[in-house]
Amino acid sequence: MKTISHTMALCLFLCISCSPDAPSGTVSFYHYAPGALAEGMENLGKLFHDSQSRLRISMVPVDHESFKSSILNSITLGTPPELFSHWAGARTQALVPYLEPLDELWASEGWDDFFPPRLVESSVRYNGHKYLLPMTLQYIGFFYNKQVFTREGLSPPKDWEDLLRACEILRTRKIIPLALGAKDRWPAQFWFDYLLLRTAGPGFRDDLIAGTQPLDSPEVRQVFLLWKTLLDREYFNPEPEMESWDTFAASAVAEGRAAMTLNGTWTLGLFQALYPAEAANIGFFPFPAVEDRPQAALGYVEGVLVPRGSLNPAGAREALKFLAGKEAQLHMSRTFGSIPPRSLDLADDAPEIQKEIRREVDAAQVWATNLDLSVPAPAAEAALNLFREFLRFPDRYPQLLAGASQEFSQAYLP
Amino acid sequence: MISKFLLPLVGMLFLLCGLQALVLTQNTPIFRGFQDIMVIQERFASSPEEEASSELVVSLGKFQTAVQKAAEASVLTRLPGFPPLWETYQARLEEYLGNFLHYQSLLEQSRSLTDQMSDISNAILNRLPLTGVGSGLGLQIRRTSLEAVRLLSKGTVDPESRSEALRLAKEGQDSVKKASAVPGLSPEEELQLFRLRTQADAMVETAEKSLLLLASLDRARGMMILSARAVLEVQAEAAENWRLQLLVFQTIGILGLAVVAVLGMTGHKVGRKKGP
Repeated sequence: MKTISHTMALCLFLCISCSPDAPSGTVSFYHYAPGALAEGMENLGKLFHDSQSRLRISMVPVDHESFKSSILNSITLGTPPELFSHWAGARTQALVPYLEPLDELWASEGWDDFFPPRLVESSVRYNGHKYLLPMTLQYIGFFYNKQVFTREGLSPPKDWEDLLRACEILRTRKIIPLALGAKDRWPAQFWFDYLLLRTAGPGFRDDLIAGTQPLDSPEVRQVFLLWKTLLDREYFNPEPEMESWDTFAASAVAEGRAAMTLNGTWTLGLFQALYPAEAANIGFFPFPAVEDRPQAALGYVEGVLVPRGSLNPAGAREALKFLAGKEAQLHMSRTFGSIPPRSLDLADDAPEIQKEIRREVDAAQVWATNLDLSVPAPAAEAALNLFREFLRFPDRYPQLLAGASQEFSQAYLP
Repeated sequence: MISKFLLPLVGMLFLLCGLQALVLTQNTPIFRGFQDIMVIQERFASSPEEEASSELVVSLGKFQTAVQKAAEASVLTRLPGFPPLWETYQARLEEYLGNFLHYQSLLEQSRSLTDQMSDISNAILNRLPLTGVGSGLGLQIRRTSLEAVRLLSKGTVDPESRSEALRLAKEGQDSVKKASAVPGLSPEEELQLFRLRTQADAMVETAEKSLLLLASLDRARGMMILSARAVLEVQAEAAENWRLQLLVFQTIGILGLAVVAVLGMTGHKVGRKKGP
């Protein structure tokens, strides 16, 4: 009997060792990192492959603008990827019915010990459940060419008057003071957001986002008036509404044709990828104070979502464990110039500019997410179209504002 | 003494052989799985333009599931003692999976661009100028953009459809440019034409991206088909090897069972000590 039982135990062991218990196969990961930054995502995949051998991750780059609508189609057509990048906030909220909650994984991995509670509440949790694994914290600020500033005897502006003075000096020297590429519309909104935060204040902006203040309110008109001043004085490049943020605006700053551009920390990643020699020459300063308002920092969190009904959910969970780890989060920070959401800890060898940005994020009294990720999609469309049309026809802002305000308000109707 | 140690050992060996035969039998679908893949692949690789976009995506989903299953099942072939043939088969399969995923990712990008064109077309409809020079133009661009979207949806990998979609998008763009250059436009007309221009520009840009993607898509499809053939070549040899192993292990297993049964019937006591 003993021999038979030994034999059976051996058979059982063999059966167990034959059946694969750890997740294997392939995990598809759709992301929208543009051109030069897509390589960073490929490298993230390589890091994952170096960390284990059973599971492969296939990074699928999708055009940034078309991703916004196509991801919903991929999910609803029943062929979702295992993982996809997404913006935290209203856009993730809209996808919640199609997502797998991460509560169990979050608890078993103890991620509450690493991700700051404020960030979890604002970006991870929707309808009482955790859905998004944060990968990057992007901050919006001014990126400027240090050599140009030094040559013209300028220092980073602290307030609105400083900014106007610097712009005037640069304009007279035939340097574009403010590079803006708003062809894709969203880069223009940062001007609107910051001007609103620095004049009407974060409280009013919260009301606007909640739909309790109209878009054509006096506070918003004041923003457009200030913005128009910069356009009237020709501080922006010609036709900003037809230019791109990367191949025009960021390039112009890197090459010294323009002095500064208002954009996100991913611009740092772009400088490092396309202009490695000039990257050290890029400085940063926060949007200057306009009126006496609480110091607000603008930005957003990007993360990874797990759709329901993918082919390899176990593989997706395994990959998430890696993506939440220090190595993956620091890789994203190096590639995209962002702050790692995990403990907000930068790598020891992070560039000084990233450390400055981190200090700015720490010092901010208020954290605000940019408009298009904070409001319902139709309201975001109305606002983004408004900004682009305003750049084309700045004198007509009262009429444009009135028209867009109607569309904006309708998005909040039940 | 011989029967005390040797018989249990031989019995265990027989049982292990039987178990191995069972493992092999359970994983025989790996071959059928790949045949399924080939059937679907043949269909969309030979006449993709006849596929509706959604049907193609569903086929791709099934296709990927089959590849996934085959890849997962083939993990068992890494058991120690298998000949290198199985490693080659696994390597070819992984190569094929990589090529397939690359092709699928390009198709996904292609589909995303079509979605974007569709969004632009809807935006034109939503913001269609109601008066003046822009109204007729708006309708014209709406028609051409809808036709471009239809062509793109139909011809996911068809160069002619893509070229025609781009031509239509450019036609719309030229019309807006010409209309914008007409002197004496009212401020309202200027605004309407600007709105149309931004949409027409986006349409052309997206159609261009879509056409550029086509070359990569074509290359990826070629690579996928080549690697599928490589899998099939190794598979033929592997299947023969698999059948041989199955036969050997099954035979030994059955023989073992027969021996145990005969020993049992003839009253042999396996592993029991003799009495005092």
